[in-house]
Amino acid sequence: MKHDPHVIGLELGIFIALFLLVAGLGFAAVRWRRVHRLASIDEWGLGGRSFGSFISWFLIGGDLYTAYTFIAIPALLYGTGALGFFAVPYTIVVYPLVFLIMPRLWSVAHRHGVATPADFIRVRFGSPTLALAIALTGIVATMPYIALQLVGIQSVLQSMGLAGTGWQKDLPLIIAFAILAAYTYTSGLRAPALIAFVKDALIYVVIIVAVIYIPSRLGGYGHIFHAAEAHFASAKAKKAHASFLLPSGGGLAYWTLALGSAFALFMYPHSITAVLSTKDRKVIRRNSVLLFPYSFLLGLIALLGYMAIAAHVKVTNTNLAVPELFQRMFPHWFVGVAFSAIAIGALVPAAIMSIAAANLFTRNIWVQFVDRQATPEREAAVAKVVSLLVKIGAVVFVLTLSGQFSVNLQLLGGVWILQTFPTILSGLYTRFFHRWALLAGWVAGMVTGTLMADAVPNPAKHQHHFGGSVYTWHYLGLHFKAYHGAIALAINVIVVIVGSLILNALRVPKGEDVTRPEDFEEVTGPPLPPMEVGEPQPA
Amino acid sequence: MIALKAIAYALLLGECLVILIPSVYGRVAPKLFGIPFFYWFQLLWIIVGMVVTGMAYLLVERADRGREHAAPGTAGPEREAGGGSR
Repeated sequence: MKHDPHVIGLELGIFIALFLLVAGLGFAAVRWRRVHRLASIDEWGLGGRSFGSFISWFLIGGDLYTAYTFIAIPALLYGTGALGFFAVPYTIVVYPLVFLIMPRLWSVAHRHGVATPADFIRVRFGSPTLALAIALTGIVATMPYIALQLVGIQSVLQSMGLAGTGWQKDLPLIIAFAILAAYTYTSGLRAPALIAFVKDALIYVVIIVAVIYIPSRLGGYGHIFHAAEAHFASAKAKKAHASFLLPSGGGLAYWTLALGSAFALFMYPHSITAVLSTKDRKVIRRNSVLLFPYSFLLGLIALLGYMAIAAHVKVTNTNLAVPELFQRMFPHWFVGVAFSAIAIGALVPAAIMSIAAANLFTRNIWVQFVDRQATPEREAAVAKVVSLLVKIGAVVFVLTLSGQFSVNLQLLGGVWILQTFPTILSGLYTRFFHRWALLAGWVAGMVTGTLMADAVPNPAKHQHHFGGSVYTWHYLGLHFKAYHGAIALAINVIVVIVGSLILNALRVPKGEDVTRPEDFEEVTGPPLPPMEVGEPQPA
Repeated sequence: MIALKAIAYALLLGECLVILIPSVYGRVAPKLFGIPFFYWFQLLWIIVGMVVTGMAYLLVERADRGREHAAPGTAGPEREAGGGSR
C-alpha cells in the first residue's frame, strides 16, 4: 500500500490496534454464551434468543446508532441547518413506539418460531405473496444501508490520508470488510453483540469528550450557535434552503420526517433481529426506557455540525465535516480513537444488517420457494453463505458506484421500508385489513414514494433527482411540503382502508391466521411445536 | 388494571404529541447558555421522554403483575384490540 505523507503514524497505529482487538472479539464470540450448536437460524441469526437487558442495551444501541448516523446527522445540520435536527424528535418518538408495539411482536414471534418480519406476516395473514413483498422490501432497503456503513468507514480512511491510487485506494476498506465477513460467518449475531460493548464504550467516550472539549476551544456553545446563525444568514445559505430556524411552512416537513423515520426504524430487518434476540418482552420495554441516553448523545452529535461551522471547516462533501472537525480539534492520538469509534461503529450495524438480510432471504425466499424440506442446519448454512454474499454485494456497490448513489438509495430504502409499516403494525393488532388490500397499499406506497423521491431536486448540489427528503406536493388543490415517505405512507393507508372495506364486503378469502389473540400478550410460554406453525397456504 | 395501562398510554401519547408540533418550540427566545430555545427545548424533551417512558414502564409492569395474580396460569381475560375482527 502506498503511504501518503499525511498519514500520521500514531493515529493509524491506534486505529489498527483497536480494529484488531475487535476482530479478535468477533472470532472469540463463537464460544460466548453458547448452549447449543450454532447450526440453526435461532442460534446463528438470533443469538439463541437469549440476550438480557444488559447485553441488549449495547446490542440495540450499537445496531441503531450507526457510523453513518454519526457522520450524516451532523452533516445535515452543517448543510441545511434546523431541518437536520429532526433526528431529535425522531429518537424521542421512536422509543414509546417500541414500548407499545415490539413486546407484541416478541410474544407472537416467540410462540410461533418467527425469526423475521416476513415470517410474522406469513403466520398471521397466510399469504406467502404478502410475506414475499415484506421480505424483498426488507432486503432491498437493507442493502444500501450496509453500503452506507462502508461510506462511513471510507470517510474516516480518507480523512486519515489513506487515499492511494487505483485499486490500492480501496484495499483498507476491502480488508476491513473481509475480516468482518469472516467473523460474522463463524459467530453470527454473537459477534456484533460482543463487539457492541467496545463500540458503545468508544462512542460514548469520544462524543462526551467532543461535546465538552471542542466547545471549550471554540469559545462555548453560545459562540457556536452565534457562528451558525451568522452562517445561515448569508445569501449562499439561503440559496441552498438552509436556515437556522425552521422556515415558515417547514414545520410539516419537520414532524413528518421525524414521525416517518420513527415508524420506519423498527420495520428495518436489523432492528427486528435485535428485538427478537432478547430473552423476554420485559427486556424490550426496559430498554425502550434505558436507550434514551443514546438519543441524548445523538442530539449532541448533531450539534457537531454547528461546531464544524464555528471552527471554519469548509468541505464540499458534507460527510467530511465531522472527520475534518476532529482532525482540527483533537490531538493525533485521540483522532485515532475517534476514528476507530466511527469505523467500529460501522461494523456492528453492518454485521447485524447482513445477518438480518440473510435470515430474510433464507426463511422467506429460499425455504419458502426453493427448499421446502430444509432442516435447521441447512437453513443456517444457507444464511451464513448469504450473509457473505450480501457483504460482497455492498462492497462492490460502494466501489463501483458513486457514494452519492448509495446515499440516494438509502433515502429510497427508508421510503420503501416505511411502506411495510401498515402491514406489520395492523397485523400486530387486528385482522380487519385484508391481505390483498395491504399488498395493494404497499404497491401504491412503493410507486408513489419512489416517484416523489425521484422528483426532488437539489439546487445547491446541482442535482435534479433524489435531492432530499422533502417533497413539494401540489395536487388535488393541496399545497404543502412534507417528507415524501410519509406522503406515500398516507396514500398506502388510504388504499389499505378502502381496499379492505371492498374486499371484506365481497367476502374474498382472508387467508389462514394461525395466531391466537393471547399469543400477542404472553409473557412466557413454550414455543409451539413446528407442526402447529402452519403449512404455507397457496395464496 | 386497564386504568393503569390507559394512564401509561396517555402519558406516552402526550409526550410524543408535544415534540411533533414544531410551532411549540420553533423560536430563538428564551435562550439558555446562549443556546436558542429550538435546540435546548428538544434536547430537554429527550430527558422528559425518558422519564415519561420510565413511568409508563412501571405502570404497565404493575398492570401485568396484577393480571398474573388475577388469573394464574392463564393468559388472562380478553384485553385490548387482541384478535380484532376475523
